[in-house]
Amino acid sequence: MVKTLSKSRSSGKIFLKFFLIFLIVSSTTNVGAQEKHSQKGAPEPDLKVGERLYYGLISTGEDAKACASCHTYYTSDTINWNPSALEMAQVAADMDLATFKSHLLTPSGAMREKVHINYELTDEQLFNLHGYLTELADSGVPQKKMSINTILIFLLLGVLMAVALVDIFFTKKIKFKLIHILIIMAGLAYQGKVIAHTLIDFGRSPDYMPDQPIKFSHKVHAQDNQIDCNYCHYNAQHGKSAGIPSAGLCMNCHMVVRNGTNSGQFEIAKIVDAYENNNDIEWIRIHNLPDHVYFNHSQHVNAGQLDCAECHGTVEEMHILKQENDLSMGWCLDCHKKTNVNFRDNDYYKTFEALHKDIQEGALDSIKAADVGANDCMNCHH
Amino acid sequence: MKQYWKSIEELVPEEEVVQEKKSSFLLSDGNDSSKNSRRDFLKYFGFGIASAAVLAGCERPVKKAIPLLIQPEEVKPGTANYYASTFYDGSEMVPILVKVRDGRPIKIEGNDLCKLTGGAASARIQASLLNLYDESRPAQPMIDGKPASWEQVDADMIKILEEWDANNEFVILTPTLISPSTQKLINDFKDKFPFVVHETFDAYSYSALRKAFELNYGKAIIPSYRLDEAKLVVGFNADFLGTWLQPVVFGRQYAEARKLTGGKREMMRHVQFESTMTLTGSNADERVPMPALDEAHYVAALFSVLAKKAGVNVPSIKAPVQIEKIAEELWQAKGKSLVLSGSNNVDVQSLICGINHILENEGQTLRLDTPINLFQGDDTKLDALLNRIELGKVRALMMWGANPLYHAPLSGRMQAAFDKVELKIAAQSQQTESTVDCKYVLPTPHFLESWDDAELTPGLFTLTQPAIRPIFKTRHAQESIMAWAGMEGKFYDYIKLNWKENIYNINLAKGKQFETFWKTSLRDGLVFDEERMQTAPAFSGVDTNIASQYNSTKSGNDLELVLYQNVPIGDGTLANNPWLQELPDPVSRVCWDNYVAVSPAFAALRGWSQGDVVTVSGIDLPVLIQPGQARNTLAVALGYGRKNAGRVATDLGKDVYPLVEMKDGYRQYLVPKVEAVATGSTYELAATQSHHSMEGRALVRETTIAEYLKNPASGNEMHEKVEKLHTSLYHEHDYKGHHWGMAIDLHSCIGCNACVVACSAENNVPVVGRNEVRRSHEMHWIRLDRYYAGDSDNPEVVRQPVMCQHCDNAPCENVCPVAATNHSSEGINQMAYNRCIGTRYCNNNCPYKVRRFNWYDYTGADTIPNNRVDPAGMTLDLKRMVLNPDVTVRAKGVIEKCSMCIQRIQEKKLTAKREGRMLEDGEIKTACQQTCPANAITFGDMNDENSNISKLLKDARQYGLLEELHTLPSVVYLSKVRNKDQNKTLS
Repeated sequence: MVKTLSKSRSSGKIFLKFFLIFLIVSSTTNVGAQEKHSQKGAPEPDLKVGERLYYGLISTGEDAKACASCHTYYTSDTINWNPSALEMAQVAADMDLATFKSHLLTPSGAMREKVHINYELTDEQLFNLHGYLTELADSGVPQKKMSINTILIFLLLGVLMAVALVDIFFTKKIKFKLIHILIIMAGLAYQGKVIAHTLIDFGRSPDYMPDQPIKFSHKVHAQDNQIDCNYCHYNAQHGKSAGIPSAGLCMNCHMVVRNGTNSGQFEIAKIVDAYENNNDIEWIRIHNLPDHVYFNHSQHVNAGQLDCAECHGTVEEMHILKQENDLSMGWCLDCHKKTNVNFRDNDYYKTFEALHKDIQEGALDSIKAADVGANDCMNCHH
Repeated sequence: MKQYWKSIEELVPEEEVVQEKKSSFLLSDGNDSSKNSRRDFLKYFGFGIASAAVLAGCERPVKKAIPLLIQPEEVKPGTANYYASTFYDGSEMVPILVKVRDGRPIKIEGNDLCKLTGGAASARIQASLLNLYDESRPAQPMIDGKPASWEQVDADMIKILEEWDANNEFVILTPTLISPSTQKLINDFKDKFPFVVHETFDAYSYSALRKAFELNYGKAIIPSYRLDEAKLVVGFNADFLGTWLQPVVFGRQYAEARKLTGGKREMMRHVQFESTMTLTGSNADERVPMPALDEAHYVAALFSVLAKKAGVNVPSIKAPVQIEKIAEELWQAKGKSLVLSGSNNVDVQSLICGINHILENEGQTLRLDTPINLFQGDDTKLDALLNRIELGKVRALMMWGANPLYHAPLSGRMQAAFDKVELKIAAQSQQTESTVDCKYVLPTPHFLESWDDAELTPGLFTLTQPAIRPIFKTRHAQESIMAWAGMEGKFYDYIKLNWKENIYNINLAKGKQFETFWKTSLRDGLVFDEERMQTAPAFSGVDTNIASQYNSTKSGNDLELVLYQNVPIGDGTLANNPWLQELPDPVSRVCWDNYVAVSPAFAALRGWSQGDVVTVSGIDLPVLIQPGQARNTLAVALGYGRKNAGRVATDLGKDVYPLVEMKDGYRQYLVPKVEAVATGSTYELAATQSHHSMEGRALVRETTIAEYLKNPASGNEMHEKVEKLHTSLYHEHDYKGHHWGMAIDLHSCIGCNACVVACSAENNVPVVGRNEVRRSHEMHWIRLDRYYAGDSDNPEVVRQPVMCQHCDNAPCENVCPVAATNHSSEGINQMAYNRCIGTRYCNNNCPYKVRRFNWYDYTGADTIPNNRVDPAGMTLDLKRMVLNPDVTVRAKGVIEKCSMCIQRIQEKKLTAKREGRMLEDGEIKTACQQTCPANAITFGDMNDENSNISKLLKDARQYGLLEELHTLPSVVYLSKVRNKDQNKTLS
C-alpha cells in the first residue's frame, strides 16, 4: 500500500515538475524577447542594479523606504493609495533623467514632500533605476500566478483513483479491496463536489473586486464627503442601468479638488487627463448579469423605493468596490417574495382590484412584489 | 361553408406533392451544415464537464464599462430616444420616428403626427433600417477605383467645373427630388454653372399619369387621392394597397372607409379589374381577371358608357358585361367614387381622368389642390436626355441616387449612352449597377445619417435628421455640390437658412421666432402650411376620340407578360435587405426569388406544374401557379437579379428590367407577345404557403354586408355554439391585475405584411435564408395566412395574421418537460429561452403552429461556428447593431414565439408605476399594431371593462381561432365582411 501511495505521489510530483518547467520556459522566453529591445552604442543601464534599488536591496539612503514598499507590484485586498509600480514606471519612462532626478529627490506636492525624504542616490544609480522603470513600463507587470490547488487536487485524485482501479483488476498489490473502494469513493465525492460547485457558481462572482484604472474610493466620496449615490448614478432613477458617471460629471467637483487626502494628485490627474485629452476611462465592470437577464434600476430604485444598499451592500464603506451579493436568480426571487410593494400609495396598483379588496377585508395584510407578478419568467427574460 | 384552399397543390393534390409533404423532414440539400454526430455530442459533453472543472480555477472574463466623457443631457444609457425624420427612397415618402438606443437606430415607426399616415409604416419602411447597417455600402470616396480623400475629389471637380466647355452638358440625374432645399441648392448650382442640367429619373415610371393630367387639366400633376371619401373604388391594374403611389396612405384610407366598428352600417365597395393577382385585387369585394392588353379597351368602354349616361356624344363601344354593371354602380355613386389605373399609357390615364370628371369626383375623392410631388420623372425627357448623350452633347453624368443602368436598360441603349459619357460620377448610399464604371464614386450617407427636408404636398414640409453619425466615410451629395460651388457651411445650415427664408412665416409659427419654429418643426418632424394649397386646375376636356381607338379587345390567344412590383422588394432599390428578401410575397407566399406566375388554366394546358423552369423571352424562371390570374397572362416581379447590390441581393432571382421597353416615349411594363417554353428542369421555390395548413376548419369567418346588416353574427354562428359548450377540466386562471388580449379585425387587415417586418425588427427575429425556408424553418413570429376560396380561375381571397394566441388553456404549456413555457400572471404564455432544452413537444402540441424552433444559430448568439447558418450576413458585427438590446438573441436549439412584445408592456407599466398612475388604455402598443396602416390590431387589458379590447370582445363578429378546441386564446378575430349582395354583383 505504501508503495502505491508513494507511486501516486511521485506521479503527482512529475506532473508538478512538468508544470514548473513549462512556467520557467515560458518566462525565460519572455525575458529573451525583452532583451532584444535594448539599443547598441549608448551606455546601457544595469537593469539588475535598478531592480535591486527598487526593492531596497541596495540602500537608497538612510531611513529611506524602498520604492517597492509604497509602489507595489500587485494590489492587495486593502487599498494602496500610492501609484502602483507599473503606473510609476509609466510616468518615469516619459521623463528624461534630469526630470526623473528632480522628481525623485526634490519632490513637489504635499504627498510626495512628506514621503520622498532621505533619498541619496548617485547619478549612476538613478540611471540604472530609470532604466529599470523604463523596462518595466515597456514589459508590464507579469500576471499574478493563479492558485492551482483545486485543479491539482482534482487531477491528483483522478490519478490516484486510476491507480486504485488498475490495482484492483491487474496489479493486485493491495489485498484489502475496501481501501481501493474507499479511495475511489472519496475521490469521486470530492470531484463531484468541485464540479457541482463550479457549475452552480459558473458565471457568478460574489466578492469580485477588481483593480480599477483609477483608485476611486466610494468610501471617500459617499461616506467622508457625503455625496448621494444619485448624484453620480442619477440614471438609476430613470433608466435601466445606473450609469457610470461621465468624466464631465466628475469634473463638477474635481475642477477645484485636485489634491486627494489619500492619493495626492496622481489619481485625480487621471480624470483631468481623460477629460481634457478625450481619453476614455475603461472601468472594470463589477456587477455583471448574463445577457439573457433584463434588469432595470429604475424599477427597483424609483418605483420600488429600494435602498441601493439592499443589493450593493454598504458601498459607502468600501475603498475598493466589491460585489456584495451573488446576483443569482434565487437571490432575486427570494427578495421579490419578501419585499412589500407600495400598494396603497402608488396609483398604478389600483388595477389590482381583487387584491385591494383582500386587504380591506383583512385577508391579506401586505402585498409582496411576487404577488403582483414580479416573479413571472418573462419580466426578466425577454 | 366555403371550401378554402391555401395553394394550388391542395386543390389538385398530386401524388408527388403529397409525398413531398410527408417527407418534408427528410428534405435536405448539400449545404447541410449539421455535421455533428451523436458521438461528437458525447465527446463535447465530456469535454464540457472537464473544462468546467478547469474553469473553476479561472477568473471570468473582464468586462469593461466605458462611460461617455461628456454626457449629453438627453442621452441616458439604456433609454431610447425617438427622433422625427422622413423616409423617402425615391418612391414612397412617409414621416417616421427613429428609435435610437445608446447611439444606434434600432427601429422605425411611423410619425403619428402625420394625418395622412397616422403613424403607420410599410414593410419596406420598417426594413429600410437594415440598409443602414449594410456592410456592402460604399465606404469611402474613390477615384478610378482607388481610395481617395474628399479633398482630392473636391480639387479635381473644382478644376473640371472651372475648365468646362460651356457647350457640353453636366447632367445631374436624380430620382424625383421632393426636397425643397436640395432643389434650391441645385438651382443655385445651375446658376453658378450654366452648363449644369438637372434631370429626374424614377426607378418605376408614372410618367403617363402626370402627362394625362397635363393633357386634361393643363398641369402635369399627380393629385391626392382620398379613398376614405369614396363609397366605390374601381381599380384597373392599380396595386394601390401594395405598391402604387402611396400604399401606406391608401392602406390607411381604405381600411378607414371600410371599418364597421362603432356601429357603422356602411362601407366602401371595391372592385378590381386586373391581370395578375395583386395585394389590392385580393382585398377587393369583387375582382375581375382581365388581360393587361385589354385594359385600354375596358377603360375606354367604361368611359363610353359613362359618357353616354352624362349625355356626352361619344362613339359607342361594346362593353364587357362587368363594365356595364360597374358603370351603373359608379353612376349611382357619383362624387363618392374613384377610378384608378396603374397603367403607364397616356391614353388609358386620359380616359381615367375623363371618367373621374364625368363622375364629378374632383374635389371629393380626387384632390387637385393638393397634388403630390412624388414621381416627377418624365419618360419623354429621359428619351431626350439619351438622345443628347447619343449626339455627344453630354460630357458628364452625375448619378445621384439614381440607378438607370439597372432600372432602365432599354435594350442596351442606356449602357451605350453610359459608355459614351466621358466623366461619370456616382453619388450613392448603396452599391448599385451604375456605380461600377464611374470615375468618381462619392458615397452618400443613408437617410438615417442625413439631413434633408421634403415637401410631399404643397405646404406639407417634413425634415429628415440624422439618428446616428455616419458609419462610413460618406458625405451628403449636397455638401459635395456646395464644396464645388464654393459655398460655405454644411447642408444643415443651408436647409435651416432655406426654411428661415422660404418656409417660415409668422402665422405658421403661431407668432414664434424662427429658432423656436425650427426646433418645434425638428421635434415634430413635420409642419403643415395650409396657405400653400394650390388652386385646383380646371378640366379642359378629354379627347373623346381616344376611346374609339380601343373599341375591341386586343388580346387573342397570345401570351402577354406583365412586369410588376411586388410588396417586399418593390422596384428593387432596397433589395439588398435580408428582412425584405425573407418576407414572403403577400399573395404567393414565396420569398428569396422571383418567378413567373401563370394561371391554373394555362399551366394545365401546357402541362406545367409548380417549380418547372420555363424560358420567357430568354429568361429562365420557375413557374408559380397563381389562381385568379388572367388566362393568357404571365407575370414576373421586377426588382430581382441585381448585378451589383451587395451580398444579399446580387444574383438573387432574375432581372426582368431588360424586358421593359420605351414605347411612344413611355416605359412599358407590359410585353404584348411572348413565348414561354419549358426547359425540362425544375427549381424549388422557397415558399411558406402550405407549411401551416389548417384545412377544413372555420379559421377565417366571413359574411356579406347584406347578411351582416340582418345579423351582425352572420358567418360567425359557430361562436355562440362553442360558447355554450364552455366547460373545462383545467383550473381557470385568476388574473388579479392585467389580462392582456389582442383583437385582429380581419375585415380591416389588408395583408400588407408591415407587421411581419415590424415584429422582426422589434424582437430580433432571425433571417434564415432560402434553403432554410424550403425546409419550413422560417422564424417569423407573425405570419399572414392566405386562403383562396371557390373557383381557381377567379377565387376569393382571405387573409389572417396568426401569431401566438396566448391561450389560457395552452396545449404547449402542459407538455413542456422543463416548464420553460408557462403562464404569466397577466395571461401571457411566456417562454424562458434559457430554460428550454429543445424537445419541441410544445411545437408539436400547438394547434396554431406558431412556435418557431432555432434549428441553427442564425444570429450569432452562440460561439460554435458549426452551429451557424447565416446566408445574409446577419451575424456580422455591423448588422448586429440593429438588434434590440431589450430582447434576448436566441441560441440554437430553443423554441421562440410571439411574446406580445412583453418588453413594451414592461416598459409602459414601469412608466406608469414611476409616475404613480394607472396605465391608460392604448398606451401599450405592440410592434405589429403600431405599424399597421389599417389599424386592424387592437391590444389592451381585458380586465379593464372600458378598454377598446373589451368593447371588441362584445362585438358579434368576434371569435377565437380554433375555439372549438377550447384553448381559450387571448387573441381574438373579428370576421370579414364583403361588400356584395345579390343586387350588386358583377358576375
